Amino acid sequence: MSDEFALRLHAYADGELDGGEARAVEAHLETCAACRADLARIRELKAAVKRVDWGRVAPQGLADGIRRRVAADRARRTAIWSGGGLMAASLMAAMLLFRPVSPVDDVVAGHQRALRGAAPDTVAASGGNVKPWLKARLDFAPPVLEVAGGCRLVSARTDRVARRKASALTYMCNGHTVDFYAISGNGRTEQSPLVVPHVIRAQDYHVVGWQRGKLTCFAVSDAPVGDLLTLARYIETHAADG
Amino acid sequence: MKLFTLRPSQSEFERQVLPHLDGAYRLALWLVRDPATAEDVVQDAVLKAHAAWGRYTAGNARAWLFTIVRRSAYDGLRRTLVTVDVDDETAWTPEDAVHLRDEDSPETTLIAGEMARRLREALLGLPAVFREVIMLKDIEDMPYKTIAEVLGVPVGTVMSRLARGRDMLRARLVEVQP
Repeated sequence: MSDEFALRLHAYADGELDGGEARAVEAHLETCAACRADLARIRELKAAVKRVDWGRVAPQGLADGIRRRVAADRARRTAIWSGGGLMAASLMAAMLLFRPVSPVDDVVAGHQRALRGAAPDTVAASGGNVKPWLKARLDFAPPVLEVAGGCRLVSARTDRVARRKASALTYMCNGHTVDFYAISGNGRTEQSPLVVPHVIRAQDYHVVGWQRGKLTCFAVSDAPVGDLLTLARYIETHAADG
Repeated sequence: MKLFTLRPSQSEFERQVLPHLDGAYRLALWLVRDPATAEDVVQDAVLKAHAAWGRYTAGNARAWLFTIVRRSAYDGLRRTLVTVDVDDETAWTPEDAVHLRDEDSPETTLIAGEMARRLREALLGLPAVFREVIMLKDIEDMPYKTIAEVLGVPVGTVMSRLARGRDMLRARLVEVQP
């Protein structure tokens, strides 16, 4: 069977041939048992692929979020236009405001800022002061461990990730600085199935992300991934809720 | 005679494009293979589409949206910001991904489940260019012409990728038989 005929056989199985072409294929099939067997295999495979309902629908949270964003976007644009005198600056500001957020980018940027010593709102850890310090600043309670396996808590700070309030705990692990981020959840991430740690690589850092109830957590560092996973698992198994 | 053309309005966007969110999500999911990333891809793509809606003239809104979703997905894959699953089987289980149809009897469900699992794994193992063409044809039921539009390639390329992709898929299925 020629390659050319193979393509037409697939197209025939897909119902993509017009009457004349289809009849030509059928005429050839009459004379070619191998081609008939091929057609049967193609149909069988198509049916198998179709039979499995791959069909997930978009998660409700995603659909709702998109609808809201689109509506807000529309309202905002109408407002800008009807205000007259559209200035490049305001358009730019709007674009920045509505750019898709990447929590991973924010986490890495926050980590770098802290490494440069440029993070505001930081406190050194000393004698259990971190938990009350964070409590006064956040509307959620991230897990705080003074010692987590081979890691020692050295400082804490607040930050913003994906436009949400976040806590960042800085640990020293085998000579590496590791930031542990907790971000209060939103409708979308709460139903994220990522309850197990996921490794994400961003720039020169390793980022491990996971979901802890309503909190989205990230550990970021230049430390080996294994160390980050160990810390993540330690936090998950040893931290009491709240 | 057409006296003027109306610029499609924003609510027109909501009417024409948003009904295809499910398909867009499926496409993103099968390209990036991670539910959370797929959500980001779809959200990103729909907002881009919304911003560009003024330039959309007419035609197939679904194909247009899929084109943007696909581009976003590939951009994400290229940036490789995401994702290496640590424990592969925990990230997205077959039970999670595969919903058997209701009409399946209990006896056939186990076999079908096993078959579905293999098929899913084989499809996920294909290079993305073959995976997407099989998905768009056999799952989304798109005509070749529309697939060609989404992929930005000639119909002939769609046909050859489909034939090659199905051959690869079948080879993988045979390969994993015990």
